[in-house]
Amino acid sequence: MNAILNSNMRKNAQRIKPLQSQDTPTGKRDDEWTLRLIRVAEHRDRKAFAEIFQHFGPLIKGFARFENVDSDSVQLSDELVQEVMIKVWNKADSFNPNKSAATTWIYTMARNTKIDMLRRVNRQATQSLDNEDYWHPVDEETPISELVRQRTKQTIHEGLSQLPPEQGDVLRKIYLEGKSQSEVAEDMDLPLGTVKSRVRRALDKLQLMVNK
Amino acid sequence: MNSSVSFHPQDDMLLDFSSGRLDDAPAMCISAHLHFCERCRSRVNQLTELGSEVFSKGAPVTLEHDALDKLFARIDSSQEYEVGDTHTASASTAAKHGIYPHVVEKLLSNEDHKPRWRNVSSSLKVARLFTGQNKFEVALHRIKAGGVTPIHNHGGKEYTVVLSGSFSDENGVYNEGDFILKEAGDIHHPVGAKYKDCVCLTALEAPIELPGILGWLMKPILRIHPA
Ligand SMILES: [Zn+2]
Repeated sequence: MNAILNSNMRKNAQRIKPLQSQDTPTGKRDDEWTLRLIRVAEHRDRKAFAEIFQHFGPLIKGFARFENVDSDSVQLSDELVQEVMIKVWNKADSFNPNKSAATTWIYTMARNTKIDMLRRVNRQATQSLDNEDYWHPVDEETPISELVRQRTKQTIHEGLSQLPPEQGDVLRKIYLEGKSQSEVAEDMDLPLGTVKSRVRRALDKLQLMVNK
Repeated sequence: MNSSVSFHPQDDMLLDFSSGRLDDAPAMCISAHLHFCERCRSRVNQLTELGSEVFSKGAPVTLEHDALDKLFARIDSSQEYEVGDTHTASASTAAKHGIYPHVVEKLLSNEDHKPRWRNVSSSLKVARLFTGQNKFEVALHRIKAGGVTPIHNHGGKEYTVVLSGSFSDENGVYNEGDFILKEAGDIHHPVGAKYKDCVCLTALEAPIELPGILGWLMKPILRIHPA
């Protein structure tokens, strides 16, 4: 493995552009994954990429639960991990640390790829759009207020684990299992109104869906 | 972009959009609305941060033991940067300089299914867009300045986003970027603004087909052709 790694690093050596100190972000979002992702972008750094893979691969596989599909869902989950991570490798240089944290960037890639995969599995018709296209106006967004985004992230980070378990459960079903609120209601054997009010209360506590 | 958007999708729809659970056609309308609406873009961004946090605290599942080796093998055997498939890239470049939201431009630039305008009445033209799903008919509607469209009543939901110009109905005046949802059974009677044509993106839910001659007679004025 190491030998392969080294020979590939040599192969990639010509592509590496010199690191200029002004290229690296200053301080504020140098969380560990962001730094590794930048190393992948700038140096095609396989060690940093392997670390990203070891951390996010299993999370993506957990996120890749395919229900109600005809194909083998375990195989699909493994395929999703591969597809997402190869995109992380290929698109690393489009990652902008001033616009999002590495985790959010990888998550959106996983979400988009998962939805595209579901479309592929569930239908024969040619799709005119990729999920990325739907997100174009959001992705193009220049950060109006970096500070607001940071604060939002902080509030969510601190608040999520403090939510009453029944509210956290609902959010996990929505974001990890990709269920609509009515599907969550059916799944948990609850009235739709109850699910909606749990979501609403969770969002209120996390100070989300408000005008910022 | 304009900040005078005054009709927004409900939070529930934004939530389903952000988790990827919304049907394709309504999601196209949300995406078109986001092009114009900073308020909703901000909300969707907040929800993406939430999704990301839930994701990062999810339960990890063990990978195949050789998953990383497989991945490096794939990386080595593919040309670098090949994976982002090329048809997508060229289509989005083509769409880049359009005046409409990205999703609309991309649907309009579909070479295999070129949209064509056809007249519905003297003041209304429709161009169907090929979207590859069959729950909704997605189309552009152009209402002539001052034009009156037929009163219509639909069998399913109807989503509308104003792309340019404005129109009004019994409930208000809708301008660029406004998002309007009519439920099945709602009747409305859109009227174009006086001096400028109005172009809208619409997604009309396909009603349940009625059998035989009765079904044919009962089809609404704007016939549904999901594509
Ligand atoms: Zn809005």
